Amino acid sequence: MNRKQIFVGLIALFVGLTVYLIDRSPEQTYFIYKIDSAISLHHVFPTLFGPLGKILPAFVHVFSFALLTAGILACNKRGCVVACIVWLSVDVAFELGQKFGVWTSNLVPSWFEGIPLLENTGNYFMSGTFDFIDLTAIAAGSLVAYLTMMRTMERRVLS
Amino acid sequence: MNLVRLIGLVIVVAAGLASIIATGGGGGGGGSGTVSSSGGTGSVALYVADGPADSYKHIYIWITRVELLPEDGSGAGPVLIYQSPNPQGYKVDLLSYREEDFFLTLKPNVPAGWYDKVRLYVSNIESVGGPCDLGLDDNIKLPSGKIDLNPRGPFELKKGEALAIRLDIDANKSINLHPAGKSGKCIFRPVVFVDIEPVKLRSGCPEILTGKITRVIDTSAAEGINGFVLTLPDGRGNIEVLLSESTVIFDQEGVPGTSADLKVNDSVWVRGRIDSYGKLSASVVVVGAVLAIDGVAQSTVDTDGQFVFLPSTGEAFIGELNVQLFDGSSLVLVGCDTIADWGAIQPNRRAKVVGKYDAQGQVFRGIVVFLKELEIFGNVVSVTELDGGLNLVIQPSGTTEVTVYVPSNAPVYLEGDGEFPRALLCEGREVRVIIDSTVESPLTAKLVRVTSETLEGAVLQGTNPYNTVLLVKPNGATAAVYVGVQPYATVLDLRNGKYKPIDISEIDPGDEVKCFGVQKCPDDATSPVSFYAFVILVIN
Repeated sequence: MNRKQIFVGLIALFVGLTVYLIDRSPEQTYFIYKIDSAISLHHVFPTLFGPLGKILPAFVHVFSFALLTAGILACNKRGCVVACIVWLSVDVAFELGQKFGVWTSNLVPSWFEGIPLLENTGNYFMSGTFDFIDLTAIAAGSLVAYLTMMRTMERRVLS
Repeated sequence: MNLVRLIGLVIVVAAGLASIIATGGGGGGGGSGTVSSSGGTGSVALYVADGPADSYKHIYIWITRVELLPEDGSGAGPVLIYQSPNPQGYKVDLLSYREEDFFLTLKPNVPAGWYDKVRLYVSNIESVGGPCDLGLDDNIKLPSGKIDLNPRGPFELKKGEALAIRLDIDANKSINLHPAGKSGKCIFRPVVFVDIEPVKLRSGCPEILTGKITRVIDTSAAEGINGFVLTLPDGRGNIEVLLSESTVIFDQEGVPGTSADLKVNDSVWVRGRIDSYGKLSASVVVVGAVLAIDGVAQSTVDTDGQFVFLPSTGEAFIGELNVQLFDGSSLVLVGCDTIADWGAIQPNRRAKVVGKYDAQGQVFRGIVVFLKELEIFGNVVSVTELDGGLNLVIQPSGTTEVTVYVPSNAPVYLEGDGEFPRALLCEGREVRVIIDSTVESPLTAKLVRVTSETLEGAVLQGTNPYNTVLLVKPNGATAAVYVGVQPYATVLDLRNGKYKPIDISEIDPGDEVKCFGVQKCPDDATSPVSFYAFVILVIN
């Protein structure tokens, strides 16, 4: 395992979480609403990230999960590229799913209804809004993740 | 790969996918551009209303999201006004809000600027009773869950201003019986009228909200608080409630109290009006849950401030109740907002009492009494023109004829639509007349609503610039009729799941239309027009 990468990934994930806890109203976020709106700090603290808060989660998601994946698998350079590309593809696919929301939501199985988290899948595609700026943030997140991986890669000492 | 790594990888992948869905994808969801404006923000209050749909008991609609779409070319993304945290959407029974609008949410910090459209997302619609109730769970087909609504031209949200957006979802026109379809279901083709005006100009009923106090506002050194933040249930957002000297506060027991009774986490019932800054100026605040009971007053108010009230069948109470009013605190209103004195409570007067029941004293503590406006519903038997108005003789079902004077300043509307020309108010029309309780004699109308009729068929001949008349062959009829299109009629193209206001000249021969309006008057023998249309839907 690469503890540095896991640590950076978790820190980034925490930053992403603060966007939802502080900058967004609780009713806009499924998990906060489902747990309890009272955990939201939206009305307690002033907005932290300003306009950046709109794109930060897209950036942070791909960044942190690529780092966590690479960190757990202790990837070499090639593995890091694969981790970044996989998470880039996942995030882009979900974003594109919002562009074709009606079509995508029709693919969601009906048994998802009533199951916590899965029940939000159709709503995610139907109500989410496709945004090129989010796509740019996702691409930037994967690129920065790769650069961070290169900086934090543990070199094996040959004896 | 060892087991620990494998488990770690599975957890990371699962958490990564789950977090996308759980957070709504982690995107800004658009709106990251800017709306063309001089900057700043305003507030948007969102209301839902419905026209009449007598054949239905309930019409449920699940709203998942509402957005404002900036003007084309602004480069800005949609601005989120409401997002239901429940994936199924927020369920509204449209027929519960026929007399007053339903306040859905108030969204602060909306970028000021010009907007073109309102985008409404609906996940489901269902009716109880009426022709579509076939015992199915999903008895109404929704061709598209995303509806772009075009108000009458672009509208501006000014910096610091609160704008009221009222979505009048006309269920009667929207739900189309489609027995010939493969599914045999009804189809929901949305007919939504969008009214937009600054909140300060809004003349409807005051808002009645329930929710939880999440923060108290205490900005002065004086005793008591100045207001609180009310969190509405079901993720409908927050609204700042302002208290003033005239605000009446009732405590948990339903007796007059003070602002010291209001604490964080208290559930409250609030009546008030949204001011031009998007805050609710409260007239009444009640701590805890209240009961609202429909019924009929059985007596006048006695010297102890009590009157006898008989709840209607199906209410939470059976048999007569003693209602206790509190001098200087309990409100008596005619309709939803006209303050009356306690003397307006008379035997046989229909009313709704809002308050709390004191089981020990066996008395209902009345906080607000809404006296129902007198209403006459029936067919017009004759119309006589008088100086300054009309005399309508109406035949209600099962009773004797009633003569009502309609002054020239009393509005006459087509039910569910706009103004109705008095020239078309004639014998045979079905009307609902609201009586002005401030005039003792003669029986005087405050408002007249004319019931709308429907004509559906194929267009044989379109209009021309000089003659806005369509030749339509009604379904099942052998002969075609002329349909006169009223000035400022709403014409909507609902073909292929679209929702697009069009000009009457865009209706072509072969188009299938559904017209809402009235038949011509029986004494009008000269006009070739058989039907006057106020709303036309192009449906095929």
